[in-house]
Amino acid sequence: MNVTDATLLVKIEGGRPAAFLRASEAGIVGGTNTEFVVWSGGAAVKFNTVDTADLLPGAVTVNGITCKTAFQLYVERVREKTLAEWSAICGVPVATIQKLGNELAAAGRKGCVTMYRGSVQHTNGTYTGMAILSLNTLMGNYNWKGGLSFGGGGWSTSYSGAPYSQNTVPGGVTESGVQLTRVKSKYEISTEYANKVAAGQNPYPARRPWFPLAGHYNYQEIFPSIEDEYPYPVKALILYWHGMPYAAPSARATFERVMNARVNGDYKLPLVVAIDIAMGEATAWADYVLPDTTYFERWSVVGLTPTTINKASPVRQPVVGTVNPANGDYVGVLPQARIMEDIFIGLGNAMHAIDPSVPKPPWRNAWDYWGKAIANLAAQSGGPGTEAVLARGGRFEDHTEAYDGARLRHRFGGRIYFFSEKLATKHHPMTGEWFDGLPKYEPICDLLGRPVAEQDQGFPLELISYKMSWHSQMHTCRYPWLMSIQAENFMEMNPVDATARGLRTGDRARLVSASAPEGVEGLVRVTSTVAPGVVAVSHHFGHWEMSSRPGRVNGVQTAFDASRRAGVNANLVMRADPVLPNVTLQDVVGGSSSFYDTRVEVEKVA
Amino acid sequence: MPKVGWIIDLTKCIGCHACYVACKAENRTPLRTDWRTVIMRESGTFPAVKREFISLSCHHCDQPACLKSCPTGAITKRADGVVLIDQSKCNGCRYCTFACPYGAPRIDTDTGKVSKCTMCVHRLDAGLIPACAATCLTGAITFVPDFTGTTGARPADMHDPALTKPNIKFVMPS
Ligand code: SF4
Ligand code: SF4
Repeated sequence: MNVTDATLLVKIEGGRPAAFLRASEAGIVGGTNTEFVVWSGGAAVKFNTVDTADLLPGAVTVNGITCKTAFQLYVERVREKTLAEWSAICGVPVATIQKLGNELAAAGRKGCVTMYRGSVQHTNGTYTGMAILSLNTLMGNYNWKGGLSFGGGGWSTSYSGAPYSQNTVPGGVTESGVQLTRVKSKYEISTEYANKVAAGQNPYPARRPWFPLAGHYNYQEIFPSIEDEYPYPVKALILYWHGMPYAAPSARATFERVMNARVNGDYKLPLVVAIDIAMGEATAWADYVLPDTTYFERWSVVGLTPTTINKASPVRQPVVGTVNPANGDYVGVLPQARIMEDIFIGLGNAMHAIDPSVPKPPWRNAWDYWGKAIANLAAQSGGPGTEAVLARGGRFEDHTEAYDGARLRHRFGGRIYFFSEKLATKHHPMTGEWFDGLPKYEPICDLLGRPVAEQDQGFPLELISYKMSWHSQMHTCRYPWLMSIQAENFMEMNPVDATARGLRTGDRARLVSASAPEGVEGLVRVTSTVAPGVVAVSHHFGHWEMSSRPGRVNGVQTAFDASRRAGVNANLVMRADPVLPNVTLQDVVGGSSSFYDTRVEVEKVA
Repeated sequence: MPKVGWIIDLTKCIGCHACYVACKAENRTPLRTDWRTVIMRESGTFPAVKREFISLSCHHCDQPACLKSCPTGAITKRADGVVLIDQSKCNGCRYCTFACPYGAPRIDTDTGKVSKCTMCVHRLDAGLIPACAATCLTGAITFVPDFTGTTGARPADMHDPALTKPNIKFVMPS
């Protein structure tokens, strides 16, 4: 069984839940600042000294500090609005909510609520994700058969005692400092903050948001930050299969301003190198393009998502091209393409040749690197060895190992939280307000926390994007068999909205938003699979590079395939943030772009 | 001798088109000469709306209308029931494309002749099942080496099986 924070006391400071109460603050004899506190038998005690504690004791005072349990706070948050009020916000009838709630409760630990992009890639996505996960906490379904899984994971390519030491580069550098996109950094550590405070100014808002809690690299901030030279100017950019102006919402204009500044000799970004498989929307602007191989022409160990509950390490290996059996040198189908690892090893060798103080890479080629990584995972805990792993295309636990009775075998072992102290102890970098440690509903907002809907009154429809089942994000426009299933995409609308605008399937129309008045033009499809009030556009089409038009190499025109340009890309219409118009709307907590919160209109093109 | 046929499970198909791509990859048919297609359609109004996906190729009928219509004798039916168009005999008159009630024969955009699903005879003869059935990730396409009975329940608007006695059955949503 997992433990939760349900009974742990949280300090209420300035009317808001601020942090967990620690035993040292509670005045408990011998209590330390790492021990949590619960309310039991009418008194505050260390959490690990009692078997039971109060779940809903109301507000209690401990050593002069007002506290509530995490669960008390959660319940109060849920009851801030009536079911009818919540229903009015989400548009799901009360009866449906109740029916689903009953079904979920009846399913017990075999009921599960999961999420993917649609529910959480919004400006309020982190809070929504917390709310969804809290339903699983209420169900107690973590690590149970049918419940929430954290995945089986895989074997390691690098670990202590492994046959090969893979992740230590002799003389290598380690990353340090603040990332360009300010991920994992607090604004309050910046010089900007210190200077504003020293000058007696309100330090908020920061010039651009900082993302102390974002775990990933918030892609959408890269080019806007380069343009603003914030927090510092950038000298070189190495792109790998990168299509930001295509793939991120509202990104093209900023990207092209940065790139045109280079063309005009105003060097905001002196050097751009791209490693890519195609002349994509970003790669087409690079100073140097290093052709990469396809997934048919490389080794790799593929990580799995938590939906796979068995332990597994799929291994990819070349199925075309030639591998020299003596030394593992690989030659792909196209003569100039190189596996990425071969590119890096080649660069390392070239740098060593110029400056011998730069250490030589410890690998001969991509196979030397991957062969050792695969040998490591194939050897871990009595594994079957490289030959068996390559023959099977990976290392896989037997499917019968997935469960341990009614429970999953591979489990999440940590505490599960209703209240996130990590969140409650950070500030919003623009408004300066504390983040909220509890799940909550907040409307779609700009970077200053102002609702966007109010600013987009003339745009009655909601824009969503989705993926069709036979395409992936941006590269499948290059596959003629897939493009022949459906030659282009559509602005898909409910008959109610289409009729109101005099639109019929096959009509040409323009999709416009407040920040993209010029919009994009494409075909309408009228379908009841889209809810009234919504426009859906699949995200694979509407390229403008990808060799969809002729280029020139050494003065010679290159081949192209115009069918790759077909259709529309909704990202070009998505909302720029009203506060910082060179970036899209984003979730300041989790760091994701918002892919769904643009309000649009569809206008018939005569 | 047992005859070949299909069972298409409409409750399993997700419209992913993997069967369509598997057919193109296996048979290298020209672009837009599609031996297998997946019909996608919808019914109802929001929120009570349903989508339907129907993966279809040639039904290798017992009484093939295509065969009867062919003036050059290019279309034959093997002992195991597979209906084939001999490309060396086809003159591209397209009669079979009009005769077949199910739209299976396709104009070959490279040669101007007509070709269609061969049920992957080269695979059958090697002891394998057709590429589409082998690829379908949901198990919606079952190749049956010993098809018995008649079509029975079928998707709305499919032509009357009495016309050609197709060797296909459907598992229909309840
Ligand atoms: S489905 Fe059409 S092409 Fe196939 S055998 Fe029957 S009539 Fe001929
Ligand atoms: S591969 Fe299977 S699931 Fe996918 S479209 Fe074809 S029949 Fe349907």
